[in-house]
Amino acid sequence: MSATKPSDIVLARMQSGLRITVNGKPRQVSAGSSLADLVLELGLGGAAVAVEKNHALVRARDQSATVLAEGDEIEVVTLVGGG
Amino acid sequence: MPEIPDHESDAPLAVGGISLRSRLLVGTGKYASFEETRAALEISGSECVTVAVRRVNLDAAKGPSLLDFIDRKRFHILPNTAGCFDAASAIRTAELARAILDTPLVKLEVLGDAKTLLPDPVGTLEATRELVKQGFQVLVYCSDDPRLCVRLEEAGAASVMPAGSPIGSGQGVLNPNALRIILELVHVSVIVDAGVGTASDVALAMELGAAGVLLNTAIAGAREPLRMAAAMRDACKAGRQAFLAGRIPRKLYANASSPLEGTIAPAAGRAP
Repeated sequence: MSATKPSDIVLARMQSGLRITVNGKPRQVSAGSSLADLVLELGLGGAAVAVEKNHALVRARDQSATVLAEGDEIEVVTLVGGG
Repeated sequence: MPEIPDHESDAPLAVGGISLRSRLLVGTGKYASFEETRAALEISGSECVTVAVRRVNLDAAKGPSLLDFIDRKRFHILPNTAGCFDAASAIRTAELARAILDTPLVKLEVLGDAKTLLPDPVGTLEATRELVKQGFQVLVYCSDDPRLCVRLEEAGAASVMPAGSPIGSGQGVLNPNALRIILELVHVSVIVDAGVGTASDVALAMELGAAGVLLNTAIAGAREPLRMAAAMRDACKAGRQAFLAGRIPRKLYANASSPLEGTIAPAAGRAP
């Protein structure tokens, strides 16, 4: 690996990254990322969560094969106390 | 000691493919801590608890989760669609819950507006139809309208759950007559959901013949939630027992418990 200045990494990400929305907030991910990658990046691997892409449920078994695209709206939900 | 039929001799509540020995269903919201939630659930004797679906807070540090405090060997988890104001959101929420819990059960709520939290009958019926089509066991929170309850049953609801009064209002069962008519017209389990304020509200619903009662705030919001959990447990059993035993009819005039003949006192106070 060649030494790269942080500014170059940021620049590369800007060029190859994707802008998506996760739980209503903008987020940037690397191009080619899958939904499973995003869940891991969020620290939610193995957690009791369910994931939607553009208002449609994506089952855990399908998350690795689901590649993110620019503008995707992702929802990550869990269970909380309620009545 | 003669054998007194206790609630154990009662048939379990069968709803949505599960069987519950306790007819009390409880929510998990508004507790001071997960520890308190767990204690209240245990004391209530319930075997079915409802939970909500919400966005993961991505900014907060990872802490314990509610599910860590609910023993799934002991409790069936009934996810709800609380907070949904249209059928489409409720359907999405139910699908998300099913993906997490791998359960077909859902407590459907389609609400009309945030101030009253009254169920929207049209959206509720629409969502019931769709969820039934998708294979869910739908326990439907609804208003206490007998005709609506019939329509929900026809749509395939596993249970209709009319509100006693608005969610969290503590007003109890405001229209016992509507509930009585629903109980006559509907064949699936009728579970009174919402509005309970105190133990007598649960007892009343059960005495009228409700198959069960679902409540949350009445326990979680009590000054002593754990004591109230015990009160609700006992009220549910007492009301059920009274229903099974069959109450005496109401009469306008007295009916002496002691024989009127053979008293040493002169006859008095005879009706004119």
